[in-house]
Amino acid sequence: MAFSSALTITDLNDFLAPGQECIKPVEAPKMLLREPGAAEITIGGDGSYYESGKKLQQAQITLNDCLACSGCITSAESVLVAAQSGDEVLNVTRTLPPGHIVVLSVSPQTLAALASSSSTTLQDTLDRIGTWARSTLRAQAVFDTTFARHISRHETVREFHERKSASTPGPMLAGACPGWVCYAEKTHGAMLPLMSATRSAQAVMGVLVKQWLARKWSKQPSEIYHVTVMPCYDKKLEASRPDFAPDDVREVDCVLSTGELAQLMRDVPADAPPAELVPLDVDLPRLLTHAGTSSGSFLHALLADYAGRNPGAVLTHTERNADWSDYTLADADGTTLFRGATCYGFRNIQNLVRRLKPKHSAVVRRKAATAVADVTAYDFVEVMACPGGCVAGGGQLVKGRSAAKDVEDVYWSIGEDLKALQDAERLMDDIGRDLWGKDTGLRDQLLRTSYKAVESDVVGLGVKW
Amino acid sequence: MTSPTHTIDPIAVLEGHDERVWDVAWNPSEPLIASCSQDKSIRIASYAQTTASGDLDFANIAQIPTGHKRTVRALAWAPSGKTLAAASFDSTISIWEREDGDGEWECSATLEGHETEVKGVAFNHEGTMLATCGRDKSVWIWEVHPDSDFECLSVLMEHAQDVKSVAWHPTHDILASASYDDSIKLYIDDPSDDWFAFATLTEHASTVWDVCFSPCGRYMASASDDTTIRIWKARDTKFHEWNCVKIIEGAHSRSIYSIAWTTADGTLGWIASAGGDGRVNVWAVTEVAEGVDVTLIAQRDETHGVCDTNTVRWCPRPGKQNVLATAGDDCAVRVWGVVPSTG
Repeated sequence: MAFSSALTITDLNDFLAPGQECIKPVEAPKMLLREPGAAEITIGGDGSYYESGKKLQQAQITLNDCLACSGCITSAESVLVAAQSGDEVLNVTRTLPPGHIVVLSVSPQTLAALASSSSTTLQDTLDRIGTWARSTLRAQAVFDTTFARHISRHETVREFHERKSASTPGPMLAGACPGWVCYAEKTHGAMLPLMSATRSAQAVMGVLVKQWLARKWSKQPSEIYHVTVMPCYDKKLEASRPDFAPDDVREVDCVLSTGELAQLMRDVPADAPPAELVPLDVDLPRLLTHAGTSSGSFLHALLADYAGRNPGAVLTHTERNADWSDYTLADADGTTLFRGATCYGFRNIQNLVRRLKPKHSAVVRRKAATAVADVTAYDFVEVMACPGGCVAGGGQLVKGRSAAKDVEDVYWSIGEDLKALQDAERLMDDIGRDLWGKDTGLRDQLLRTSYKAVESDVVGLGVKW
Repeated sequence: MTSPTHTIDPIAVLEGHDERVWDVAWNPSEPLIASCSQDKSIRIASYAQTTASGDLDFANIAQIPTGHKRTVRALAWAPSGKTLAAASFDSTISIWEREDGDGEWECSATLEGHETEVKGVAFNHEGTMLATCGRDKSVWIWEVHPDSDFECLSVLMEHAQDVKSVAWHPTHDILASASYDDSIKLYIDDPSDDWFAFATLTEHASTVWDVCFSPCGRYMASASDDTTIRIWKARDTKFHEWNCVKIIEGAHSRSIYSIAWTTADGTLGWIASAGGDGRVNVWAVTEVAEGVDVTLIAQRDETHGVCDTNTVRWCPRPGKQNVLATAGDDCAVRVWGVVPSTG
């Protein structure tokens, strides 16, 4: 299988790596496991394997296998690419039954990366993707995910206050990063109660498209093929979670990385839009800017909320390292109101997790309190797996800190528009009335998710010590 | 082979482990030696000079059950001699210190993060950093804070396979790792970014089991499953470029698991090697124009009976630098003196 250039993450030295041993291939047919030379296996023109003229069955590993298995920290990239690829999107959109429609939702980090690489604006980039997608994918609606992010941030604040009033032990940890979620579920089950249950922007977008817009458009969820474009391969994993596929209908059918979209736009250039394609009349706000971080700005949603309730509060910001910043909000007399942090990258996650874990009191007798940060004093930590956060995600066009800086600059090129945010707030309320009304259970079902620790069952036999 | 000028004479046998002994570590500042085993315990013995002739007398002073759920594979003392780090197949590293300096040995920290078996552990020359490596192909660098707090500085995923051991340069913060992918990698910190691998040495034909630096820091020796030992020389004063300047072949008939370098008068020092054939070899290394000459000065077979010898380590303490310890599958630690042949 040919990997896209965007898939090579070997130049990053701080990432969540695939596990060394995927246990699924052991179920491959026995004939594949013979000694080398025992049979001649040839590769046919279609890429299939043939043994003595007989076509061999290919070992198939689905995303759901990866989610259920604890063998890897994140799943093998080849699996991700095979299941949700540009080719898959082309195949599905070209053979869509009559009456079915295609919707594309693009992350703002994707727009920033594409705009940065072609020296255009975010708006131009979104328009260009829209024109291309209408022609090539017959997409009837192209959104960005900033409005979904608006809802996700709003829900994060709501969940935070719920936890506070229920005296749930903190800190609350952001749950929007699928790499972090997957890692925590597989190796740090003790972190899961701290994890924010609020859906990520992508998962909220799934609800908006398959529930709210579907109703407005008089479509069944299964009649909409929903493609998202994300800065991160692990979003493919997130979209495959059962929570996001009620009644086996996925809310996000396929996730492409920024690099995969760019490749697809190069490989399949746009023609004129097909005549019968009529744009849909219901729309969502686009290109909303939420001040703070370029990784969803969840921490700043809480900071803004606290600052709004405490006029005159003073925010201090200290950088521990490039990917770990502390934010403290104090009132005029110096009393701390809120403590939060952004904590990105595998090694910072390690240090965070180690300090949040209960000590092995039976064996470990700790001495005096350490000089290092007491992470349990945080109210909220915006945890992201990638160093540099989502703009520097593994699915972006180029890697490295300086490239991410350029993308970051474009990301912030549209200032915060209060009028647009107020409009978004009103639409959000309308949608709430339409979707769940006063039914908080239904609301939680649509805006929250849950996490489950995966027990390791991989035994490393057959490895030379 | 020229006839050896030295012999490897037994000094002591330290028994007490119930299963194979994986590693042995001499304390750099006190007369103590620690060993670890598949029995999940660490044993610590003290030694003292009993006679004018310099014989060493060993006494077991501690047996630590550790609490590790699987084999304790490797040990490392901090340069201060006050802290002992133990790497276990249960994916954790435990840190041991003595209460008030001379009381019971207590676990002061447990480092988690490795996915599977941890196989190597080493403190840097200042004791400010700890490196660990393991079967998950990763090398971790931890910063040592006061009061047994450790902060992860870097997770290096450079090797394609199991990482067998890690070793720090004696004077600079340069780390070497040896792997089942047949390579050695060298790492350094980029102050503006992260640690990175600046060199990969690929000349071994099979697993590299162990790597060590010369006391002067300008050379490095590696031991491999290909039954060779290679000596590498730094081409520049910043130690950025390393070339193989010597291949020692035919000294072992099976995998070489362990290699150690000690100081010795008038030379670059002595190298000791041990492996699956139970043999221990000692070479004197001298510098020549284009690298090094090595002379086999001592050899001993069946150091642990018919069993594998897993580790060989030189005593670092002044006046005792011709003393070495080996750990074997016969559940014993054996202490040897490398002394001039008589007659």
